[in-house]
Amino acid sequence: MITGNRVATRLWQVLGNAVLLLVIFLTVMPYVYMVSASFKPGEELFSIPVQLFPDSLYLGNYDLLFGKTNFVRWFFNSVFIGVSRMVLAVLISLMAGYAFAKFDFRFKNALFIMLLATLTLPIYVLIVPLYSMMVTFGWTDSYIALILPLAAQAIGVFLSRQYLLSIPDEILDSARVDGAGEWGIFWRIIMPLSQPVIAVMGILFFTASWNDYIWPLVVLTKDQMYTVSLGLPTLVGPYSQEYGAVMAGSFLSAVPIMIIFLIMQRRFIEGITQGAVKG
Amino acid sequence: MKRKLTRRGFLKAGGGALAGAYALGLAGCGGSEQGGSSKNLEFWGFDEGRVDFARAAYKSKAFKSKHGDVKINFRILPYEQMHNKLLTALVSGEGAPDIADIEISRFSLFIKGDHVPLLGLKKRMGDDINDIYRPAAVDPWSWKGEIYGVGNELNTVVMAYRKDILESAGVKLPFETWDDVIAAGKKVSTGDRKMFAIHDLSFGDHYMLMQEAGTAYFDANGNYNGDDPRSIEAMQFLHDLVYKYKIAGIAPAAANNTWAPPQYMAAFRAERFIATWGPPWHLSYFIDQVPDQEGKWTVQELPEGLGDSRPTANYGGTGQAITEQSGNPQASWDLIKAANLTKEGVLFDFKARTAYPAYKPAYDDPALAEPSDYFGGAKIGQIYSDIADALPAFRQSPVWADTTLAIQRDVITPVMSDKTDAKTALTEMKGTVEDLQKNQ
Amino acid sequence: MQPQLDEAGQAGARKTPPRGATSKRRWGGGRRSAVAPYLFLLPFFAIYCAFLLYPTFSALWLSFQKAVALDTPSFIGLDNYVRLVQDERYLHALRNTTVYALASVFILSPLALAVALAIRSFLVPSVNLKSFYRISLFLPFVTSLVVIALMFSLVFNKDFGLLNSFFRSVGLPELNWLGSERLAMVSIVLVGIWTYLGVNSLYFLAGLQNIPHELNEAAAIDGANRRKTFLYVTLPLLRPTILFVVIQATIFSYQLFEIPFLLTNGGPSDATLFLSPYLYEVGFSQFDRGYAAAIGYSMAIISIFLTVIQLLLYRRFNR
Repeated sequence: MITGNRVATRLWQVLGNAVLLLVIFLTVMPYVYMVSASFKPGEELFSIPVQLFPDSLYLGNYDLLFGKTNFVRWFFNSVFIGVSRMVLAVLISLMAGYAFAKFDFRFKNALFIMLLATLTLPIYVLIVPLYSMMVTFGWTDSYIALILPLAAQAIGVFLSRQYLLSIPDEILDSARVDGAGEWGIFWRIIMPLSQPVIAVMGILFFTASWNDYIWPLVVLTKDQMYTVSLGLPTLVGPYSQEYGAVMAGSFLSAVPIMIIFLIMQRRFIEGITQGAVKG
Repeated sequence: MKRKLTRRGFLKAGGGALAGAYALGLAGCGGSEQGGSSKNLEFWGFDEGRVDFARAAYKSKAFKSKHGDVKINFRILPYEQMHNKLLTALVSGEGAPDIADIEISRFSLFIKGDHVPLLGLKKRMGDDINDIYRPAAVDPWSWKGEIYGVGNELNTVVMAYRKDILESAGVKLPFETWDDVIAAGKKVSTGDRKMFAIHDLSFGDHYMLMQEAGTAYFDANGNYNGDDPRSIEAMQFLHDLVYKYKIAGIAPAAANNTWAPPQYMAAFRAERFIATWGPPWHLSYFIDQVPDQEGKWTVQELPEGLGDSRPTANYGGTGQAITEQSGNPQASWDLIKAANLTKEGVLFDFKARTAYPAYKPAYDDPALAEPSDYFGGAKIGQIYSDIADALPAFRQSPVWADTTLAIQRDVITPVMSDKTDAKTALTEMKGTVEDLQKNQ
Repeated sequence: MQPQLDEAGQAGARKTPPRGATSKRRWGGGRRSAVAPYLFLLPFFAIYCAFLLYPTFSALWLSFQKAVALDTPSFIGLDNYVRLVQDERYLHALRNTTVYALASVFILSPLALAVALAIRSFLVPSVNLKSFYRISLFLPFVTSLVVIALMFSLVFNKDFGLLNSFFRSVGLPELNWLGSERLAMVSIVLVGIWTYLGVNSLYFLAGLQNIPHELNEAAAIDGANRRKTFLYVTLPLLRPTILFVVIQATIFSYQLFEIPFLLTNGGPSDATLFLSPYLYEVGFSQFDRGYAAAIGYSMAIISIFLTVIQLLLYRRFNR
């Protein structure tokens, strides 16, 4: 602050921090409620008056979740699909981004514009025919339907290209002089240098896959193939009222994402906000 | 140094092989058990109790003696999803189970278009058809003269209320007319307590009362009939219960459960409401979730005074159907028969879920003649079988599901929020239904 | 291991290196291979064309047909689109989605900017605190929308929810958050704000951080007070960020699915029917695939249209 007296400054600071704390409080509150609800039995959850914290740690919801539902299997599915899709998507995005960043070729602009145009395309345009394709291939209720079709995301190519543009050509050219083949260059030079953007893409793609709802909804029927996102809402409905288990499952399913996020948050936030800065 | 192409080629080929193995393993990982095999059948349901019911039939002697080597896999899917997936599978030509529970209000999805993807059961049923209450057991799953599904539930609607509270308020029971009910309601209704909880997100209450009044959403020719004066009278009556006579409140409900979610049952537990009307499955919710009030409730026929004053109505129900993709129609039929058309089968469901059977011979069984502890000793079985013959016929239509959804949106919710009146809403609905019929 | 930002590198790939072909062992003979880029692009574009482009065009074709349930499809030209503009439910969904999008742009974004400013100006400069704020603000963004919808269905529950019990405890009347037509939309907007406030604040923070301090100081020396500095120095420089935030908000809003689907299921009475849940209902519940494809395309057209408008406005305002 350049102007203004000290008291006013202090006052603003306190107010500002108070507002921020309020925002944080409001953000965190529903999570607290969710976790606490997961430890409450049904009658306590739906009782008047409402209490925030449970009387005692009721583990029945978790019992139900692990015992009577396929939660463990759903979790495994989500992890397997998430990791597979992430690896595939990161690899092909990086490769494509590399091509756009470091090569000149005919159709380069055309292809790039094509990618750009489809950025605003909502998945809903595709869902019906894509589903029909899955039926034709016999891929309904399969892992591959959840891994392959959605692996090509334009955003990955953009992020990779943006990042790879800043790698000096000299490194690549001198490798070529030394006799390295194109794939070798990619594998041994580009990939190690791309760790930051790989981290960003990795989190983005894994999170998107983990949280994906409508595509699994359309493609999966068998309970054992369900992902966590798909399985949890099935626990409440006209014929099933396990709100406590739903909260327990929601909590457990949010944990891996949060852990990954906590570990990689700095890189991730940098990567995401780069887009905002460069526009 | 390896040539680039080779290594690249190897990686690609290796990756391709891996992906191929993935795909094979993964497609198989789901484990397709349906359709093709005639020894492994698949059954889909959405309600755990009903799946137990089907499983009991599977284990019964009636089934095992004929198909001892047949295995059935039972799957539970959430209500909406199950029906959507079933339709999807039937449309796409693969992936459907052999047998499925189809709920009464979703059956219409399967009769759109010229071809019904379910097997006709009339011939297989033969003479058994005389042993059932048709409006409850087969009519809702019939179309153009053929029967596609069989249900076991006699969903006759009765009124239930807290006898103890009403008697101590000096009310003369049982009620004869709705006017008597209104008078009683005024005596017992306070700020915190009302007689009834009227649903504003579901068409059920209106549907039940309009049947008492003598009409239904569709007539025998499949035309919209919701603007019949009797239907309007029933809807207006529901509105008036809340806003004019003030003896009813709006039932607590949620988007994912518009009928009897936890908050609805909690309200009854807290005695915010003390009366209701509905079929046996509705009453069974009270037996299960409001146990403290056992013995304080009783039931009776619907009071007179609405339209034609018929004694009962039908609401809800689920039928078992065989899909055209079934690999073993005979075994599928024998399961359905064992469940719905034998005393042993339907009595299982009665004992488990208090589901009164639509299978007449079952009423000889003493279990059905026992007085109900919960409902103050009333002989419910007797009451149901007495009024069962008065059940109105069920008028099906290919747009039943869409129409009832539209009615919920454009009639029930606005009228029950006092935003419009019954006559306007129900009359305007005619245009909507005609559009639905045009578009399908 | 951050590579240097290289102006030359930014300009894009250079052409043939000025070295001669010195080694015969080198693949392609020393020049950058003409085939290599295509091979690198191949996996991505193979999947892309097969599973993105093809269905997109297939959907376009489908939208010109009447394809209901088990019937054979038949060509009907633009009838589906004509039906769209006459379909009350579609228009209702369009209106709802647009209201939400407007709220995203005109309520959420300014709020996010305010939070970003607050963090920048008032925050005690401690790295840990900054991290703490960053993580908390980002949490909703990485949470599954399904989990968020489930959480808030409990928070907004009329009788047993957190919000109403808080209201009750301070003497305010209970509100029917999810059951009243007017309030249901408000609830959805609130959930949207809750979910996206954090990440948008972080976008603005990044944008703010890129405004050099000297500019602020120069303005102050010129006699500008805080408000003037903000309006004439900060805001204009934030334009790219604002554009980014607004475009993202718009695109996300039109695609919102899980929250209106799981929280209110479009109700009550279609008060919270959004375009994507309507598409799902038409396509997978009513099985009217042709019409569903038309709805999908209409959503795409709207998204593209709005994005283009925003870009044009940006150009105009950037002078």
